[in-house]
Amino acid sequence: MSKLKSPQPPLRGAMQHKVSAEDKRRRWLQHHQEVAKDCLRQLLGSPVSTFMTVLVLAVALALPSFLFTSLSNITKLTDSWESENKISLYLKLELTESEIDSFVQRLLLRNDLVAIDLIDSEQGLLEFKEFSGFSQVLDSLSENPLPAVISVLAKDNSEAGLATLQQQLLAMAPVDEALLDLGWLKRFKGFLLVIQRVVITLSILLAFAVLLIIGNTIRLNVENSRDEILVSKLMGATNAWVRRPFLYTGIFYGVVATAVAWLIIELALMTMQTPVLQLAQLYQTRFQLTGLGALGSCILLIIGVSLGWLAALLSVNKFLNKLEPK
Amino acid sequence: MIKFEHVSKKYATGFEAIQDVSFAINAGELVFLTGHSGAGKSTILKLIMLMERASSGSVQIENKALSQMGSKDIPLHRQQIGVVFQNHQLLSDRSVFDNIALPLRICGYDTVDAGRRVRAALDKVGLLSREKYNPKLLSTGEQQRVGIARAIVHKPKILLADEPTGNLDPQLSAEVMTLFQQFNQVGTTVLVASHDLNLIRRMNCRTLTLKEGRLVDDV
Repeated sequence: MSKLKSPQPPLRGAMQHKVSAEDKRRRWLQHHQEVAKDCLRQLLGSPVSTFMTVLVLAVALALPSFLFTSLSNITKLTDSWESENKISLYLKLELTESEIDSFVQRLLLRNDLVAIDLIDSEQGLLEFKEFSGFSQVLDSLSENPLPAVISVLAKDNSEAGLATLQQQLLAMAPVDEALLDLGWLKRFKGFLLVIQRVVITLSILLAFAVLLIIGNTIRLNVENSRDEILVSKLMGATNAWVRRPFLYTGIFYGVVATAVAWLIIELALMTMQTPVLQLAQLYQTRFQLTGLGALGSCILLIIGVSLGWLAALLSVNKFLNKLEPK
Repeated sequence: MIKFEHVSKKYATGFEAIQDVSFAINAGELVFLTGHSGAGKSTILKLIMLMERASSGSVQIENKALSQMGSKDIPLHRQQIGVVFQNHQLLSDRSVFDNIALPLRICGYDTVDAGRRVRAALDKVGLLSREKYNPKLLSTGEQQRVGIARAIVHKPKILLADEPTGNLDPQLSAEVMTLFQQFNQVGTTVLVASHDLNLIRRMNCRTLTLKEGRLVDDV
């Protein structure tokens, strides 16, 4: 047992009781840095459990983001279709070339059409062979089964106008079938709206899952730091001071999980790029998949960080509220 | 410095810990608070620290009524008070040094300054050589002294101690009491709750005696 010393006059600096406001501000920043470093050290100290938590969070964040990205890609695709008010006229098979030519001339005179594009049966067959992969089957046929097709672009892009035009064109003698692409497009858009609602619901559920996962992780941390919190509070620690390390932990989970989720989405889109390009070629469109983009990534990050922060805040506050004097 | 006026505290369970207690302690006094366990000693300390709020009556610290203080004012209020706990409440996940530095970190002291103050406090309780130890490795007496160093490191105006000698033998108890006297001599107001009557008698200080929640003696 060491002997007690008689009281000595302490160092001059130690006599001061007050801390200046400037010192406090500097110290506040210093504490932020310390806490951030501490929490990083703590998380990296148990890399496996941290990694597992991050992975679960990343999947929960990536799934809705991926679905939203896919949806926006599909919407973009359908929008590009809609801008073309195209009606495909399938001509009767028995028409001769000169009859088709004179029909085209007649169409060219109409002022309610913007463009007329003739795909004669030979050309149609060639393209079909090239893109469908049925070239052998088609070669075995003695006759060309395809009719000549004229695709016309209407000037009037209202739905009613297009429908009337379709009826008019269908009534013309050489036309066997006049197809307006909008019918199925409309159904498809309705379907997309339903999918969109499903994705939104799923996103909200998964956001709750993220909140619960981070909240539970932080709650365990709070339980482990129980003594420290109690003692600190008795010594006059503010709630903000007590909350700080936990908020940093929550935000850390949010940031890292967002980064991993972003990687998952970009990788998934990258693997889809080639098949989508091939598919687009089949439909003779030039279509490029778009990823999250800067805005999407920012939104994902904001959502991830907010969820992490909110989960930590709720978990610590629940504990701190119990310590309020009654 | 500390003023109780007709203070009662009734807990949610219906237990009346203290009833109609009035006393005043001036700045720079060293006062003992005694009575059997359950007499309300701890409740009085808790009321001073705002760990509990009085059911009726008024508690004033430095002429400020605690009932006026909201949750936001509690931290600053507690920073003015140093507390020594019976079970010393040291954190076993960090060194003696870091334990004592905790109040300074909370109050927002500079790291270098804090280091100086921690060593000064350790020196005062004679444990300078133990700064890197884990508190678990220290003897009970040493742990209690670390607890005291932590309570006084930020130079509080008021020092409260709840049964600080509860687990100590008479000689160690006397040493701890001498420490309290020394802090009192430099101007700190000290309030010690203890049921160790022999020790209190030897100290020859003002003593408040509680019995079943009532103040029965003030000499």
